[in-house]
Amino acid sequence: MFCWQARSRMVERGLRDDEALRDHLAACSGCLEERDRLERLATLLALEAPRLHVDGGIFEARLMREIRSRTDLRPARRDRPTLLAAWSSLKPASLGAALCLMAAAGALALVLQGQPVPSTSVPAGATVGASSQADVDDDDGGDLVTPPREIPFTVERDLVGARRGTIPLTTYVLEPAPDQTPVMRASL
Amino acid sequence: MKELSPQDLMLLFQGGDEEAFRELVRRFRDPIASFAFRLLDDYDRALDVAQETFVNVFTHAQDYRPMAGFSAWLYRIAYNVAINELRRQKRQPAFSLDASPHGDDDGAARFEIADEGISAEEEILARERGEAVRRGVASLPVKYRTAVVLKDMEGMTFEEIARILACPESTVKSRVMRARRMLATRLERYLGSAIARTGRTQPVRQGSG
Repeated sequence: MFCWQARSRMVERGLRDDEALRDHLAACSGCLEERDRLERLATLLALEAPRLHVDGGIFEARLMREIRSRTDLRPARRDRPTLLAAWSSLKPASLGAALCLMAAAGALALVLQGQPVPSTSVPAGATVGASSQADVDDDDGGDLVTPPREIPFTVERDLVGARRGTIPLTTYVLEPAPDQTPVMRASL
Repeated sequence: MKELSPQDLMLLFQGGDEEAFRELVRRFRDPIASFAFRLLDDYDRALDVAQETFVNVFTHAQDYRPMAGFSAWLYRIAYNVAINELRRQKRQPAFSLDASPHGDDDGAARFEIADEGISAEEEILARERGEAVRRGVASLPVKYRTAVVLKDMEGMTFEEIARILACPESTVKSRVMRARRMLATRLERYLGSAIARTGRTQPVRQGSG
């Protein structure tokens, strides 16, 4: 056994001698001196280690007061409102799945009502308000045609006779009687 | 309750039995306070660390697993609290004049006198020797101090110390060896009287469990 092995064994197995160590110590005065020195140190440390004797009553009362103050300030987890606890316990994956399910249910409801599924890029309110105008646009190829307004007319005497009614708002030239000059009776 | 092991008491406390917790406090308050004092060398802070340790036991009781020894688990908590306290008070001097070993300001704790019935001269020598040990240990760097306190004052095995300090056993052995060498140099003049007075003894473990 080498000296370093002997000193390592002194640390590992305490200061009690085993056979191999004893043989080495018998032949090595340096290691023997080191062993005795460490043995005296261990004894000194064991004897003179400072020991506190704590007054149990005061210590325990102070300790329990401290524990009460902390646990009162921090309510237990089970005391939280149930709904809040349920939300906080949801994991991100399950939260995402729930949102997807709700979106799918909304789309299905719209389809079942016979309405077109709104485009995801257009707000729902804007889509509903523009739907009738979009239908008109699609029918006439995109040109905006409004029905002509009508205006009342009165013909006191022409080739047919006196008449009243409404006609589309456009330009008409009434054919006068042969003995009269043409008269514009309506205009755009 | 008194005949139950610390592990059994802890399991009872996990089940909601607060009296089991009080029994654990009664059994371990002195060892933990002494351990904290050996690390901090400050009477008041040692009591604070002991209190904080048991508060942590109370609030983190559900983290305890019976596979781990209760004593090692408790000392690990105490060690962490003490290290935090050392970091917090880093700017304060290592030796506090207020930390008198005979101080009894609030009556919460006092030092034990190891031997009663000794002569006044022997008592003075014993006090001087104890003070030298206290100062010698306190002067070590924290990692060596912790290792030698746990090994030579608390009487723990290297395996237990490695678990408490969360480092390999080989590291613990190396630290203990270096700490002993440093202490042997600093306490050279007291080494002769210690062995002459008592003969060979082994450290007695406090608060087994």
